[in-house]
Amino acid sequence: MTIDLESLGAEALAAIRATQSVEELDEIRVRYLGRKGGVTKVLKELGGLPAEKRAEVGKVANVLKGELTQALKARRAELEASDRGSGPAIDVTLPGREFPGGRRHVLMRLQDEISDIFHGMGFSVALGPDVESDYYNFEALNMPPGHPARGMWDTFFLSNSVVMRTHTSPVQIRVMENQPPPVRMIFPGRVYRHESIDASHQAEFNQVEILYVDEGVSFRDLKGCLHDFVSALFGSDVKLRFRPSYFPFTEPSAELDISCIFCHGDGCSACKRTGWIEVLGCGMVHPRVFEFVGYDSERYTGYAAGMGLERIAMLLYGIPDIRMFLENDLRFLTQF
Amino acid sequence: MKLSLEWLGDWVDIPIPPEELAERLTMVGLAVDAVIEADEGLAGIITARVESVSKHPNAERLSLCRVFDGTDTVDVVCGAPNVQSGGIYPFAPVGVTLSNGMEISVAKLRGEKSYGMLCSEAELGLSDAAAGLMELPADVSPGTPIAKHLGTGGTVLELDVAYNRPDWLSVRGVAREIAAMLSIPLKEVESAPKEGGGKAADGIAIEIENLDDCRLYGGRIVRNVKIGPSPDWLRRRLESIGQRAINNVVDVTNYILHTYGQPIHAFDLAKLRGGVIRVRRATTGERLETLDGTLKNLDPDMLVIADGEGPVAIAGVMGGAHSEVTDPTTELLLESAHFTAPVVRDGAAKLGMDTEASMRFGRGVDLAAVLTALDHTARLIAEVAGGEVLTGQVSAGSDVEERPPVTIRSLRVEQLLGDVADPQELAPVLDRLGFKPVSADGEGGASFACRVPSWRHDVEHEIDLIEEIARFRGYDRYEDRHLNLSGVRADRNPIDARIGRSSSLLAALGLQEILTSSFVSDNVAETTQRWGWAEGDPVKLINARSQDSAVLRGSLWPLHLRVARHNINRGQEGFRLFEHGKIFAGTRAELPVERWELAGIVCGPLLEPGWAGKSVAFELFELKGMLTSYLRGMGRGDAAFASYAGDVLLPDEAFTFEDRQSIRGRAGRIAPRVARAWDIPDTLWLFSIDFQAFLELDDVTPCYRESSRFPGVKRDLAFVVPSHVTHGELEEAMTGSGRGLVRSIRLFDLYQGPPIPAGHKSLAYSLVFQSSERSLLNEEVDDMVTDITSKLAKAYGAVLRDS
Repeated sequence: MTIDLESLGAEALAAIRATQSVEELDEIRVRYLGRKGGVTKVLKELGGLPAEKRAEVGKVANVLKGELTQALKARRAELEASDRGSGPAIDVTLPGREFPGGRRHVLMRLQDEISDIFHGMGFSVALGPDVESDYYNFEALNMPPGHPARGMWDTFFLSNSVVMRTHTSPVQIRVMENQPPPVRMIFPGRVYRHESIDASHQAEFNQVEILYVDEGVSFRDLKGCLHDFVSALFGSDVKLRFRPSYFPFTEPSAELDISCIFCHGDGCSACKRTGWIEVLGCGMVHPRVFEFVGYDSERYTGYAAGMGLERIAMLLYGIPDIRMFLENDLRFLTQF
Repeated sequence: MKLSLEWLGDWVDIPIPPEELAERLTMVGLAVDAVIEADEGLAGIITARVESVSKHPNAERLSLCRVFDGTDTVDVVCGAPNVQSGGIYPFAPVGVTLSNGMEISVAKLRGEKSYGMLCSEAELGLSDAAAGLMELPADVSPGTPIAKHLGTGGTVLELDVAYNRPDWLSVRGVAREIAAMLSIPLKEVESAPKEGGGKAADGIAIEIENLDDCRLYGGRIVRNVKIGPSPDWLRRRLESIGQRAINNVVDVTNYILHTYGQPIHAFDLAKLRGGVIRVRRATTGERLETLDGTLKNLDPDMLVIADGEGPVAIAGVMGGAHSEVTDPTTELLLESAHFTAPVVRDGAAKLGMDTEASMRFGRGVDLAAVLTALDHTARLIAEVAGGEVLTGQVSAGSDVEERPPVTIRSLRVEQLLGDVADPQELAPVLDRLGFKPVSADGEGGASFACRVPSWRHDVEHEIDLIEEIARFRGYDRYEDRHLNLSGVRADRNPIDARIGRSSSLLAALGLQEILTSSFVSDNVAETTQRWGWAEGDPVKLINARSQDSAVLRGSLWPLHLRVARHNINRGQEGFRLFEHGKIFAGTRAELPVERWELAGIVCGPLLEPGWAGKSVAFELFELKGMLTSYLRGMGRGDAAFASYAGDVLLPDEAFTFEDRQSIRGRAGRIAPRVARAWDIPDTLWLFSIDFQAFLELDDVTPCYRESSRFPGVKRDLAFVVPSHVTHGELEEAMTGSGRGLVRSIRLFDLYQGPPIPAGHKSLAYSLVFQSSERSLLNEEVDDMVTDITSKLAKAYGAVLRDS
């Protein structure tokens, strides 16, 4: 009899724990503690037991009744505390009703990211016109008319003296003409080159240039700044290589290579098996440029750098073809 | 530029392996793009003779060839225009892999089987010449490995030479850099010819009209030469760098060009008239047939070489056909000169010519090498073509150049490079590069002057020497220094910030940003103009890449329609796009006006239909709502809307808007005519805003207004008004009444039809009255409602509907 009571109790407690609604709980209460319930029945039948057994079973049955009453109460409180209805559970795998989402263009997103990195290093943003005079695009950048280095930029002309800017450097000139040093700025914007278009060349693309002019700015500061920038954008495990190069408006000039982000320097097709990928051009601002804008080139020094946004986006996101940026295929745009 | 290590070996003994050499040259600024094992791409390729050529039955441009490879005769299909019966060509038999990775197998071309491939120079990786097969001399026997004829047995460097270093466009120049870099000597190369048979000066006289155009002109005469093929060593050297061998005299001039960077021209002396060479400007009306067989009209912007009767060459660009060296030629006048860069550059540009010679003169040649190169040319010609070099150079001008020494200060070096600069270390570095220190000043030689070598036109100022020091010591030497943020404040750029904010807001409203080209076609520009999308004159390029991109855009819409079409054609049914972009308009000023425009396009419903609900259409008032949300988000909640009267949008489903600060825009459904012209559905919605006006406004600093602590009282009122009365009119009248306590007005129903009388409509409003000072009494609100009702009744004949 005692054994019966024990298993009855275990069964009742398990049932109470498994209930999902107040209604179910009521049923269980009736089944065990109701007038015809299991425990009640045991208590009713106590009279038929021998006296010594009666006291013992009666005690156990009463304890069990108390336990069950307590458990029912506790479970009821739990069930009432949650808002869960008694109906069948919702199929949460059904599709939600989506609002059409919008995003920035991948290049603008990257431009903002680059701006933010430089903003954190104390650089402001300056903008300027897409159509420029020959003076700002070439001459004031130390390329007088007829300078052979003008051939480095295939140029769209609107007239003999008006061009589509081939870089955002003319904005640097405009800024320096209008404010004394120190200058610490970046120059994002669209630039134009008269190129044959293929997977890696576009006649219109975006640049971000940077400029810092002050007393005491040296080549070492250029290296430090670009190292910080590259670490922020590509990760701090990327190695840098500054390689001598030539630009008419900086001297000394350099190309900045980073260790190949695909093969980590082992050599692959992306880095043409050299282990290095060229990311930007840079250098110390040529004293002649300072003379054009009326800065004292003996007192002030500065560095400048310029990079193509598309090229960096292609590297960072693995985009294979530069033409995709202006094609505006939604299947492309919505990936970023 | 290509350069072979074997050739370099004439000038310098390189003690390090090619890969290390390439790496070190790259790190001093002479970028080596590739190290090519010259013969690698030639493995397995043999010489073969084409026995017969017939037309391919199914392809006009292909021929069927019977090719003898020394042992067998096989069928080969060939696409080259220059294949000829009897010709000897490089032949890649089945199984060979070309340098470009192409593996030769039995192929079927338009139904005809081909057992191997006849090759061009490009296919062998020798040069870019891909137009036809590489022609080999007729005496080459079929079946021999091609490397025997072409191979250099060595390594070739592919160099990317910077614009300011024309001295590196030559074997000697690169050897000089290597010698300095590795601290090894440059070898002496004998250049003087053996002379005899009379004085050259008796054969020719030289006059220079203006030394500013030509600083030095040197000539030598060689008699009794025999034109013929060059010896193997010469051909191989030229072919190793992708130059085609022509004949011994021409090959020698090319060889000297690449050795010294000095262009050499050889005239057939017998065809020069009057025994004189005059270097002068051309006169208007003069003409010359050049070596490429074209007739050039000359003018005084061009420098020419003339004989006693007229021009025989365009100086520094190309020789004339009349005095060309041909097989019967026996007497040569060799020219080596220093034409100044601007006149060659301008002349070549005006003639649209770009030759090896004009490129080199245009960047500047080494004055001191002119006569050495002349001597070496004469010496080599005598060696490979026989003949006798007459005694003496005939020259005009001078090879002496007065260039002031350049002074360098160690403090300036420190200022720019950020590193301690010891003059005792700087001077030897410059010395090795050819900059001889000539005098020193200050304590410990804190500044000193250097003489600039004749081949370094790029060095004029102190900064140029500082660059030499930096690159030569290695950029790695200069340690990173990290930014000190003092001194300059990093401001937000107002334009950039506002475009950023606008873009984020539009993206949050569900619009995708796009970026379109700045250029449109002539046609589109013309349409844009005619339909009044753009203001001002179109701005045209004078050297457009194509007709499709010849004019700067005057509106973003045409480009957006193209993007819409692109995506619709790829199965996209719903999208909303925007772009902030510049538009351009011509003025009388030098530069066109550039204005920022914001424009976009909407296609498809606001919400797609689905299991959870029906489609919600995107139509005129969704468009207006979207723009209203946008304008409010930009802090511009007060725009007034008016009907649209243009051509681009459908007038019944379009509007314009303008706020108090002249932010203007237009939006609506595309006009069917425009949709047809762009081949897109006429269910698209367009909008554009003159964003420039936004950019020109000052930022509005938001100002706090206290929210009322007292409850608002809500009343719903429906008015029946004649159809012509607008919501705007009613709203304005309601706003202005009720003692200024009307807190909000919301139109929640608009109805026409029975039981409303014809010619009328019902507008139902939910009004909230609220005071910021106290709770309003019901009676007060009733009074205000009565006021409003009677005001609307008087002004617009409004009748309050069954309340």
